[in-house]
Amino acid sequence: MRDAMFMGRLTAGATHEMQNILATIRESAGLMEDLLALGGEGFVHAERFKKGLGVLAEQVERGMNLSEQLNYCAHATEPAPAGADVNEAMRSLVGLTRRNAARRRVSLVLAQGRTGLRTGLRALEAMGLAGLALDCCLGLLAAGAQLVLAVEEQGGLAVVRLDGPSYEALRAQPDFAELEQCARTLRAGLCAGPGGQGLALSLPKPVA
Amino acid sequence: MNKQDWKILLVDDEHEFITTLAERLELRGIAARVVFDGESALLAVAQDEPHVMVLDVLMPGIKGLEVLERVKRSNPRVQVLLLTGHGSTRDGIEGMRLGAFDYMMKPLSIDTLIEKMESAIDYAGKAANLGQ
Amino acid sequence: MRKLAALIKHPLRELTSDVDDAVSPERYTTLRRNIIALMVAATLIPLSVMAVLNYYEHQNAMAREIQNPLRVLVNKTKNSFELFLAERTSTVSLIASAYTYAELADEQKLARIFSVMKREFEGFVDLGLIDEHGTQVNYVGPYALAGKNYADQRWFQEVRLKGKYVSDVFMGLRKFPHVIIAVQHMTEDGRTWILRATLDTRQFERIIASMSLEPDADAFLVNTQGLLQTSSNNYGKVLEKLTFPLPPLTFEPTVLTMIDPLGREVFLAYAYFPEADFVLMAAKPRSSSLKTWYTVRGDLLFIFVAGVALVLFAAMRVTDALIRRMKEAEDRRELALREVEHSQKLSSIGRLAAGVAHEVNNPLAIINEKTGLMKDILSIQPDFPAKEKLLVQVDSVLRAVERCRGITHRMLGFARRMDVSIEELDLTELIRETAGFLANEAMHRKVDVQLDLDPELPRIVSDRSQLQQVFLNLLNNALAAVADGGSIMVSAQPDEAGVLVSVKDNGCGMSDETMKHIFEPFFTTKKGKGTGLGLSITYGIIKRLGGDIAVESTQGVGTTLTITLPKGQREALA
Repeated sequence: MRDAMFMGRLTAGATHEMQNILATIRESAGLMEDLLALGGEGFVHAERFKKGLGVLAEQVERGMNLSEQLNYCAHATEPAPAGADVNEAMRSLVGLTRRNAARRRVSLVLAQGRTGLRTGLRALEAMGLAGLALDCCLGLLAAGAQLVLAVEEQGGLAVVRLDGPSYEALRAQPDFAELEQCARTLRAGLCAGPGGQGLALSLPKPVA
Repeated sequence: MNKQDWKILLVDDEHEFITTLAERLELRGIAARVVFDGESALLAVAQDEPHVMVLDVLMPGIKGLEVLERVKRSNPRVQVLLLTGHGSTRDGIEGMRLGAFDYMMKPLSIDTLIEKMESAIDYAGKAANLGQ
Repeated sequence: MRKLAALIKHPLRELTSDVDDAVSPERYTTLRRNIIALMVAATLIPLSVMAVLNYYEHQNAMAREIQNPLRVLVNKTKNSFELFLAERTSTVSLIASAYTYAELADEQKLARIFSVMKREFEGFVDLGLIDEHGTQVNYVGPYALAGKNYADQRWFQEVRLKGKYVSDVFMGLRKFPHVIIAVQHMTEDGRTWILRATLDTRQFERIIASMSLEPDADAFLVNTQGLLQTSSNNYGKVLEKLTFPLPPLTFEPTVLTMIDPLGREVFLAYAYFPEADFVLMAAKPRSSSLKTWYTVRGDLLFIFVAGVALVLFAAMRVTDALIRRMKEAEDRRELALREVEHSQKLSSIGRLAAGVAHEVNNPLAIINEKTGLMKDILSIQPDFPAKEKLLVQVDSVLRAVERCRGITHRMLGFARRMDVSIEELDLTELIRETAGFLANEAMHRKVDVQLDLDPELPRIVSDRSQLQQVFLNLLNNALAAVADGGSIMVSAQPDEAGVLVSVKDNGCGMSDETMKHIFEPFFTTKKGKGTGLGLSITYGIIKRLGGDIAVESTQGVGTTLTITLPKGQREALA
């Protein structure tokens, strides 16, 4: 944990720096667009260049998003006195895992769920737990499938639900034992989703 | 061999990246064919064997390393340059174990890329001569 | 029972063994129950034994306490009786011997003697002189008994035989209980007469009253035929038959316990009179006599119950505290375990973060390529007004990408920190394989790569992939340093601490200034070449694996990098 927090601090610093640099690139791109508009006469490939600038802006945005997620991750190692926002953690997790899912040709969707739910776990712990659950589901889904992650409230507890393959099939996954173990150590509940489809993780309440 | 005669195959699922790379190579007189996934890469190699294949390790569908393995089996003369994310030396080393010529990390310098292509083509030529 | 035996055999078995078992709440419940049972048993068994022994001891002591005074009292009272009778008998005897027959036969004289007797000793009712034939010669008293002949009466025969006689109590003519004392006197000349006195038994009652017994107690005189000689409160009137059989004969005062005809448990103290036909008895109900004992017993019971309660309470408290401590220890252990697992989990999150850092490289790569392309387009384009300014911006973007690359590079460095896997490995094979990766380039550039690897090289415990990266870096650097046709020598030997590996090239070498900075991050002498991982990474990895790295270089002659690696992982990879 100390190691992770150390890494978190370093990563937080690094992502901050990265965002600054990406912002510089964005400014440069903007400036180039202005320059092109003001003194672009005689530039045969102006359109091609402009297109390039558009791509630059897009990619800067993409980089910014990723670095924000990374930044969230970096801070997620710290314990939050009032509890961690489950929705935020799940959004970050989905953001981080989306490409991994895409590589398996599975689209990962975070459902519009209850906001403002908190857990006593560190954000990173919640992410780690849900991440393991995602891994279990991803291993079973066929290409082109959709995996929906939803945050709900049940009896005052934040519940992360994954609408995926049947719970029975999930139990047979190699990662499931690790998921169970992790849920136990984090004192989180793990059970089948409604109708035996998918799974639900109930996260412990904040202490305060 | 002249640069104009090189046959290069670029494989990466990052469209914008790989097409831009192809465009830049073209500006330097190097013709490159672009495909966006492993399956197409295998198909492209089968259709028209390239001298050098620049292959991204992380792709949806067939993984880069698997493509490498299969190409090395079917077309051993194809020299493969692996593209890895920055710092993932593990994949690079694994790739070299599987017979890749070298690996490079993104973002890369186009000059280094062309240098490596040259080395690879050179090496392939020498290897072919030795074989004869 | 066997369970209890086992528990007693190993009372702390539950506490000491199976510490690594998962501790379920049920196990705590069982453990708690067992400890409490053990503690309660260990304290209550001796306590109960002590209480029971104490109870009986106390009871006996109390009984003795009650019985002894009763016995003493009976003895004393018996003595009083005996004294009373002896006194009366000797008075009669004295009178019989002090006076002549003639004097005694004189009616007036006898009346005077009797009045003195009555004055001196209470209880005399009458006095009579009887001659040897049993005829009452003279009589002083309330009845007209002169001339009566007693020759055929038992007492007469007995007094003739023994010289002295004390009768049982009998109802006199006035329906009043009486006792007769008769004494025979013999003169030297052979004359014999008998003096007979009657005593009323009020004196007996008085003696018994002087015992001052409690109201529910009872004392009375019985003759050996079981006829009551004095009235009893509970066992019959005077001269009635005693309602229970006589106890065995003993002249010593004795106490026995019995159930009386009224159904009460009583202490019966009694003594037979050796000189007379009497038994003195005193009966005291046990219940009343043991009243103090009962209060003591109540106290004892209370103390016992309180003690048991206290023991139970203490056992519960101590056990609870113990269990709580155990639970706390368990929780702490679990927490520690959880921390460790977290670190593992987090290292997987670290990997996830590393994945994201990789992801960041994708947009960066695109920006890099696009900007490169824009630069290409600009450079093939003839001058136009904004060209120079655009070029400046394009270069600034390219520099920014380079900076970003440095950051992701650094970040992945941290991520790698979390991702070490240790195994036992053969360094010779590892170096050979790594060198093989670069054989292509070496061959192409006609660089002679020699491997001098000691076959006796010990296997070491380290991180394979990281070491491979280290050697790849070192060889890459060496390749970059040497000119085409140069030579590189890799040697490995055992060292006292572990293994010593050196990579020597005959390349350009480096200046002292360069050597100073060689291990600093992002320091490179190569321009746009190589994998971009500098010696700083190599340095970091080697340090982390518990080894060391040294550099020796002479400009124009070559460079030697020497790595020492420990045989095992001495330190935790913290």
